[in-house]
Amino acid sequence: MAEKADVWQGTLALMVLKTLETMGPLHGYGLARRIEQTSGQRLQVNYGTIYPALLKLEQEGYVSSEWGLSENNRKAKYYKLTRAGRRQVEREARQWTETRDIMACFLAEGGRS
Amino acid sequence: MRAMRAFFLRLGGCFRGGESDLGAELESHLELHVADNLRAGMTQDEARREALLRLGGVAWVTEACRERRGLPFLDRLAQDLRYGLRQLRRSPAFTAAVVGSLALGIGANTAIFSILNALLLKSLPVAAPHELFLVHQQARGVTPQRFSYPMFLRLRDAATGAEGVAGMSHIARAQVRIEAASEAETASVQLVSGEFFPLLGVPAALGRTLAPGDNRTPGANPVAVIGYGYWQSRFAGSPDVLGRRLMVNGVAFTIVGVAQRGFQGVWVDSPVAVWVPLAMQADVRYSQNFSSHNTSEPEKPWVPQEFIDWLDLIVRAKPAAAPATREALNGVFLGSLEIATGSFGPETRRYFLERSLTLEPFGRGLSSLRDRFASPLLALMAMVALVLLIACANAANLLLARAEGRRREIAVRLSIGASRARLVQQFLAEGFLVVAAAAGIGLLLAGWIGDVLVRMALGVTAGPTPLGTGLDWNVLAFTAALSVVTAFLFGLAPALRATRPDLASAMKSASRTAAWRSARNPGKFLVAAQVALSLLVVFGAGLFARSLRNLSHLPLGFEPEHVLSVRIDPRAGGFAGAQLDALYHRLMERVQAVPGVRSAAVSNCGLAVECRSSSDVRLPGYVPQPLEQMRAQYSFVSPGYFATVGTALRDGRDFEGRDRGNRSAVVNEAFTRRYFPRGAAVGQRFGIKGMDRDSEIIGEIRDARVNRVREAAVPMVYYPLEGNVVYAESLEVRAAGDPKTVSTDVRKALSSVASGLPVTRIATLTEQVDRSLNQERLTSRLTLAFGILALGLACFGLYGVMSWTVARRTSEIGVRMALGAQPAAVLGAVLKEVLGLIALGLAVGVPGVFFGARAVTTLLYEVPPNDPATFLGAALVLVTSGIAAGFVPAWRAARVDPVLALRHE
Repeated sequence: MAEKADVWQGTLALMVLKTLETMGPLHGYGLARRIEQTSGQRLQVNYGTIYPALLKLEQEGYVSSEWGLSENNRKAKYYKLTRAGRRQVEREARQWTETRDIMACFLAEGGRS
Repeated sequence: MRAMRAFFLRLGGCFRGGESDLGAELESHLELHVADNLRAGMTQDEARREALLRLGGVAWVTEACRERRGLPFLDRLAQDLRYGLRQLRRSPAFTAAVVGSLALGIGANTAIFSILNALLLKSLPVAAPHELFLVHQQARGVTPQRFSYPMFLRLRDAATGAEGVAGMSHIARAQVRIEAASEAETASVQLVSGEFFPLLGVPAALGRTLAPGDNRTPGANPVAVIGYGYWQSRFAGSPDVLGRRLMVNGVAFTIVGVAQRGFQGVWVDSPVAVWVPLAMQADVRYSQNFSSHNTSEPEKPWVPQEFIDWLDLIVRAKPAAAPATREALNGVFLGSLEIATGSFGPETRRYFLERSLTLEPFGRGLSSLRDRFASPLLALMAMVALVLLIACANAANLLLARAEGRRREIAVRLSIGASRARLVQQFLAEGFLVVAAAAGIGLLLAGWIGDVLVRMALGVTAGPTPLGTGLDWNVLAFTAALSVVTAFLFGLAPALRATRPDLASAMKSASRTAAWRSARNPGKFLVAAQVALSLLVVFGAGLFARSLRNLSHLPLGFEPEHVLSVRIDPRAGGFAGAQLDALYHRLMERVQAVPGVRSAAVSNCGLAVECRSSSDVRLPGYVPQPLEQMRAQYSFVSPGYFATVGTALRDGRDFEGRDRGNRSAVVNEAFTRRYFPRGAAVGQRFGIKGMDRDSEIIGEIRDARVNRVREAAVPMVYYPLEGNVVYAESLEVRAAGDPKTVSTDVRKALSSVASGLPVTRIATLTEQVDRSLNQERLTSRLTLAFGILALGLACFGLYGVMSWTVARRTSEIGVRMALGAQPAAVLGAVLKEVLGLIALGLAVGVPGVFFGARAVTTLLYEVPPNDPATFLGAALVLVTSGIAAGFVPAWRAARVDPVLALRHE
């Protein structure tokens, strides 16, 4: 359980940021659902983990939050990307792509030999 | 940057809530989820249950966010500190004992360090001090250190690569009178070139500083810059000081500025009151710390003279450019010496030309105390470090004892799942609280102790502290580092020991006696270590005390009791030429007429003030061996001088009124031994370099330690003052009784003879001699104080551990006594244990003693570093005080009432 959460910690932040970038402001529940959907239901996780991650992003200044009303008129806290957050998404996405490419090379190499 | 922002938000989060907001957020999350689930067709209960399950539990999320919102480490630390504070408050006596002993240790360390810092580490308060260098001359044999004014100008103009060169005189004591005030007072005056202030980068607090333009024409610019401290104390910091007049040795100067606050000159231990241009040398009659060749005329202005060396030169250069600057300086220096000495004989030329210049880092400035006190200070620093270690051992011991009392509590906490690291952290937090309190008190103590010590070292009683030993970042960093080390030293061992996961035995109360009776009780080892450490300190104190005793019981060769020594300055008073002899006659006549005065005599030097002039001796018909040193120190005295200071005449006669010039001379035994080893010196002839003709020896006096107490007699020659046109700087007065009683009358007599004659100091000769032992006395006193402190702390530790042991063993002792043990036997048994501890400590301490003593050998006077008598004395002191400290608990053990003790069990 703990180990799984750790794996999450690194990637969850980027997923949250990317989701906010594409979807615009979202509340915690919506984010969690959206991430689940985007992953093609391959990710099954405690929705709770999203809250410490959001807190951390807010402390770092990448997202900001505001109370608002949901589509069916319920009170919910909405998160949206800040300018620093947008830059961060770009940077992190680039890094991820790079990492993925490098890993892909290694895996391909390993497969051939 | 982002991490920092997050850190500060979290830091803030430690003190702010946010939980209710999170609660509302999670509530809304659940509502949204439940609504979705209902839409998907679940029942209300199912929907709620599924939502909660997927969230992972409200409590878990809240906890995770709490960890993230604040800084959990800090939260726990705050909690530990609060807990520690409560613990400490519960036992105020314990806390006071630990804090007190640590405060003494930290205070003493900080005080010694702050002096060390001021003398050896601190940079001058000037711009980029690391770029400053002092130009140093290296020569074979004697080391001339100063430069003439023409040489200064040449070097200044030739210093390529350097940003500038400034010249300055030594610091002189001059008669300074503020025009409005009637009384003149002695103040420190320094002559500096116009480059001095700009080169150092010291601006004016008011007005301007001296500039190169002030130094162009000799005597033409009577302007002065005063020190900030002098401005504050003499002018009350008034801004209308600019333009006011100041008389320096009788010459009027106009104050043009006040130097920047904090800058008191480049001598760290003698603040300058007034700076005047170098070109005013002849006007203020500056005439000290110079060397001259026999072609020069010291009576005439020095500025144009090639062979009067009187200036120290400061260079500012980027450290990388320093070698190039040095090259350039050397080239000009030697080149111009070659031209200037063209007319001299080959030997004299060689004397001048075998020199070279080096650049010595000057960022810390100059200090008269630095050389004398550097090694004693390091020895003292080592000693106070030992004292602090002893104090640490005490603190560790007390913590251990207390932890022992908390064994069950700790065991319970460990058994219900507290981590060991967490408990150790808690112990350390308590330790840090104690140290923080101790360091605070220690810093306060240190400021005061440091001030007292510096005053003692310099012999200054009144006025502002001459040496800035105050707190600066060096000192604060030192104390902080010291405190952290201290806290770990005494906090960690007890913490680790107390939290040893030895649950089963700790939970059983019966085991508590066993633990403390065991030989492996760490408290006892700590006490033995304390004994060993204090042996070192006490032994060191003993060595220094013996050394001082040896020094103060040396036969001086003169009798300082009953003698009053008056420092006079006829040069500054404007006396010259033939006036001088007349002045001396009148002075002695009038002073001898003062009731209670037996005799009075004047001399150019005085005793124990380290005033010396030396020259080469020539003996008729003797050719010195190559490299043979034929030196003698010489001095000028009036008739009756030897009788007045109490130096016995061994042969021949004293000077009389008819002895004038240098036809006749008196020598000391050392001179005879050196130059006339075969027989009587009286009647023989000799000459010294610089005197135009040979002299006949008319008398021989006993050897005396005229320069300083530590220095054995060197070959001495005395000439009569009369007919030699010499400035007498000392008047010795032998009184019938206490010399202090005649001092007022002597001063009156002096001013009645010559009201313009400055009297710079009146002291008994005994005081003057004592001053030359300042360093030794201070070291001895301090080591004694540290020895007592160390001993006290060690005894306190011993007492504490033995009391604890006895208290823990009360029931056992009760049983023994019930079975017939006599009180005397119980007393003996406890004392035997005490002695065992002391013996162990002594055994451990012995190698340290011999190792440590060797390091201070050079500071001792005729005491072997492994002096057996001192060692035995130190050991005896330790054993006696140890037994005294152990006696109270032993006596308490012997008085145990078996009935009470058993009932207690």
